[in-house]
Amino acid sequence: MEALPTVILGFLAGLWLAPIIEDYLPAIFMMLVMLPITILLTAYGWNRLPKEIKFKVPETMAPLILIPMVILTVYLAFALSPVMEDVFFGGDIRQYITNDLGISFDQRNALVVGIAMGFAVIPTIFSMAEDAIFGVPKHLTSGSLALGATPWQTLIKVVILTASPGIFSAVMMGLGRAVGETMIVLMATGNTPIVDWSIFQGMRTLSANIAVEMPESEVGSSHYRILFLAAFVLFIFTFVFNTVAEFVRQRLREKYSSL
Amino acid sequence: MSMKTWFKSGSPWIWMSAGGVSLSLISVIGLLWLIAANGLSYFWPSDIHQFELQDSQGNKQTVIGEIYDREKIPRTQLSAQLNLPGDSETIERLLVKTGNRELVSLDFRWILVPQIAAQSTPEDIAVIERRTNGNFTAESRHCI
Repeated sequence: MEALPTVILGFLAGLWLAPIIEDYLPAIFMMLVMLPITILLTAYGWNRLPKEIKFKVPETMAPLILIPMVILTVYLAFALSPVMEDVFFGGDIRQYITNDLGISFDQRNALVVGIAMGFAVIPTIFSMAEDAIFGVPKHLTSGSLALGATPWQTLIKVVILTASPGIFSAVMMGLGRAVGETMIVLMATGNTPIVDWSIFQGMRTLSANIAVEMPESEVGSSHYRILFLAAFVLFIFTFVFNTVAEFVRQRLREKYSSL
Repeated sequence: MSMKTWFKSGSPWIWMSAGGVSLSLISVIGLLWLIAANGLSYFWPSDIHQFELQDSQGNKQTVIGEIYDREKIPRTQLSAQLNLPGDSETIERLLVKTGNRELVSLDFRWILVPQIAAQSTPEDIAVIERRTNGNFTAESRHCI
């Protein structure tokens, strides 16, 4: 995932993903509900299998077992989407959202950007968090498991707390990357400079604003100075955020390093 | 073991994390496949079809081009004046990429499958890419 340049993510999100989300909007929301249910059903099903099969297909292979299930669920959600649209939303969910709920719907909106930004940010957060979790000394986990805790309890109460400084800095790095990400936002939002909480509306971020307006501004004019001010605001914001995050990280380290 | 002990053992959460991993795996591989399919299809040019269309008034038309996409749309989306045969609720239509933009100023056109009288892939049709006016699609008579 890290190898994907964000230009590709941005252009695919704007050109390919946005129309699909617009056509199959019920499917996206159905997936939010159907995927956890399917995963839990698969997990329970695996749990009830006889011991010989469980030995050959252990729980560590769970992601591989889940791949066909996830693909099936996604296919089902997309296949049922037109049916749901007809039954619940009178054939057109965009009209329903605009007329009945009063929220106007843009094709390139915050939902599309969120999904594309996830692609960009997940590898950063994942690799640093994984390093942090694997850096927890073995004797802590062994001790916890020996005292009778389940693997999940060990994870929640021992491993994550000990690794929390690392996980926190991973999240902060991901956030910093998301704030500075220009290409995805440029291509996948509508670049509409409207401030709105709705996920179905476009947006224009500070970084995208600078990228869009700088070539068009007159050198030395007020517009030019304001763009520099926007860059300054972006810098100060990221700086303050990272400094606060560093303080929190230090405190977490002092608190949990002696576990 | 019962549902309650299974929940308490924390196993559902482990499987949910595994679900996240599989979703990411599918997304990455799917994305790579999508990009590769759209890009590498340059090396495998698609077939050119010749469609003989006939609408309800009897007007005939010949369209040559490659099939770019197909779609099934509800019959109510089309104009009632078309008088399409049959009674099905959805009609299939093909998006055909044509050339010769100086003769007809359309690059793509939708043709309705019920209106196709004949479809063939003649041997001597060629598509030539040029700098102006898009592709040139024609029957080649002579090859130097």
